[in-house]
Amino acid sequence: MSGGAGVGVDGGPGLPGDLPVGCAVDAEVGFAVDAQVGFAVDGVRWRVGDRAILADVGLLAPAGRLTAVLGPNGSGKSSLLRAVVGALDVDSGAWSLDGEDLRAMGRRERARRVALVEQEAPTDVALTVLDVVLLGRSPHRSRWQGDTPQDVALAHALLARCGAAHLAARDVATLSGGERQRVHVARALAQEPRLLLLDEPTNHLDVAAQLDLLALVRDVADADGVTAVLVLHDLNQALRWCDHAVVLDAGRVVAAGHPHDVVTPALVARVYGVRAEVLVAGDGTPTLAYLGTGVDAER
Amino acid sequence: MPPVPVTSPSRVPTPSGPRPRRSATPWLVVGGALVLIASAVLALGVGPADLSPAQILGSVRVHVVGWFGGDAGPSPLSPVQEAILWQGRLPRLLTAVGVGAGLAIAGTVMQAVLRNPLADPYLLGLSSGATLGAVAVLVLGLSLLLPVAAFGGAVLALAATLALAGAVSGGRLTPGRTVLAGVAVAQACSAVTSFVLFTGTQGDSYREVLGWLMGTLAAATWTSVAIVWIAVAVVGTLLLTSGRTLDAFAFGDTAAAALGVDVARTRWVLLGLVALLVGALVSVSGAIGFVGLVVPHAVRLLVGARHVRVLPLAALAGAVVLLWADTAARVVISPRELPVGILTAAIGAPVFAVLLARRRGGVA
Repeated sequence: MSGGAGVGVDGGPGLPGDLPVGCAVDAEVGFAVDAQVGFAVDGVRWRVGDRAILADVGLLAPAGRLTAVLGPNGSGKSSLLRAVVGALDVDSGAWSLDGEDLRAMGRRERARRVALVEQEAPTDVALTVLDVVLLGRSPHRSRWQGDTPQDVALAHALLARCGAAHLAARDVATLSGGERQRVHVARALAQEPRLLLLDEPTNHLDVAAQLDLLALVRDVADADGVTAVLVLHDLNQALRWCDHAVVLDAGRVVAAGHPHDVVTPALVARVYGVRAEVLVAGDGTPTLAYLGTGVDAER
Repeated sequence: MPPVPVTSPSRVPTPSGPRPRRSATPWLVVGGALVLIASAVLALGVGPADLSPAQILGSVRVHVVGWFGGDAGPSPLSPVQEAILWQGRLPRLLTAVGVGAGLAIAGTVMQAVLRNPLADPYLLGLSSGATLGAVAVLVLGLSLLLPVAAFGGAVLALAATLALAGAVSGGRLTPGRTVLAGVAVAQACSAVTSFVLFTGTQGDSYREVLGWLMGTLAAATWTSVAIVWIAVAVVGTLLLTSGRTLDAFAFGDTAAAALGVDVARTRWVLLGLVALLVGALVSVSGAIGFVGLVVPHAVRLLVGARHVRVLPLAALAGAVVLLWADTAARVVISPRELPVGILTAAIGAPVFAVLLARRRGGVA
């Protein structure tokens, strides 16, 4: 399979530079990893002072699948997402979606292809939930154009899809964390993206809300072929929900592949300095149990 | 949950939920404009010389027809009344309308772009800079027209604020650092102003400076009307079209960028436009407080926070509020004048307190 992955990676004509992507460690993925039909990042570097936040990050997120971006705090995961949406100017690097160069693209054009859901988006502004979802239409409308009836219809439909139809008239500040995240997913989908980025989307959510959100993202990817990239802290979510995993450590990709192959006790020891063992759930999904910190570098 | 085809919004069924508020916006704007016109006619009649609405409209008709070379007969007003209306009350009222609308627009934009509900048009040192310019004329006898000096002071102060904020936040003008830079510049200007006042003022110039510090429209002329209305027509109109962009800032800079907004450039441009607008307003009226702070919040409470709705309605509301506040300033302690800034503060503070209480009740 790694051979099949190699063909896609190397044989991509028309990409900004060939993409001998940083995930040379790419292993068993179970599907063709092809930069032409997915999200590809290559050679992203960003230094602040003398500290490299992103030191040559490259990865491939297969089209229509869920890719987990994992790694300890400060490993550069969120910075990478912010760079992709243009909120952060990195020093060098390229990223593309389905073969289109996202970095060279105009901002509004990019916002019609890529949407971001942040981990927490507090606001003092008293927007209704419907207004928040309609924000997602702004890359599709000129600055003086109002919301069209189609925009409002789409917003209602997306709220229904995200299980938040009953919230439409509520002030977004009054929502629970789980409700708010579903609204932000609806807002992101209103951008009609082909790439959905989620930065720690399940933070601060209770277990049921976490599962609802992951199921929603799964459904968006399966039903609409949207490529989803999730920055996650919960390694077990990556093992259970994601098709692909990329592990960052100190601004570099240290592992990539199918989560079951990548998220192993050895990797957890190496990257997080945590002792862990794999348990197998009743349905066969591997699940990590954390035993403690403090491992030898050799383990 | 049936999947919605994300790429083809046209196939989404139309929902049944009515949206009265959205479609109501044009009507609210029309209603606000009617209230403004009615207020203007009524307020022009208020004062020691009583003029009826019919007399005022008749005189306006005579003048307007005259501008187009026609002849609508004699004015219903006596020559003295004509002078009171056309050289006194009308230019002053039109200035109040323009300043009120401009301050409300500027305040709305500042609050959105700095993501700070307490932001007002003067936050970034504008009023302190303008005051310094005015004081330089009034006290030190600098041979410049007062509006020119005030405008220069305001724009220089804002330039200093933006340069300082840009230098400390790497050119990106983060909201927190921009506000802090504004505070620093305002303090510096105030210190110089206080020093000049303390050491240099004598007799009448002190009262004149004090009136200017509190904001007043008493000296408004047709020149003031021209300055204010040109600024509002050009800069205010540009800002009125920024509604969608301002909405994108609701969830912060990263969210705005992800919605396709060039955050750094947008913030520079919008703050620069606000500076030009407020510089022009403050040069005519001095720093009239609370209109730019309270009116945007009040309008948001009425129609929600979408700026496409808030901006035009705030402009109308600001115009009506300052129109009546200045009318009151003319007559409350007649024949003396009250600086209108005292009235806007006196009305604005309790209104603001009520808004805060309601908002907290709504969220909790």
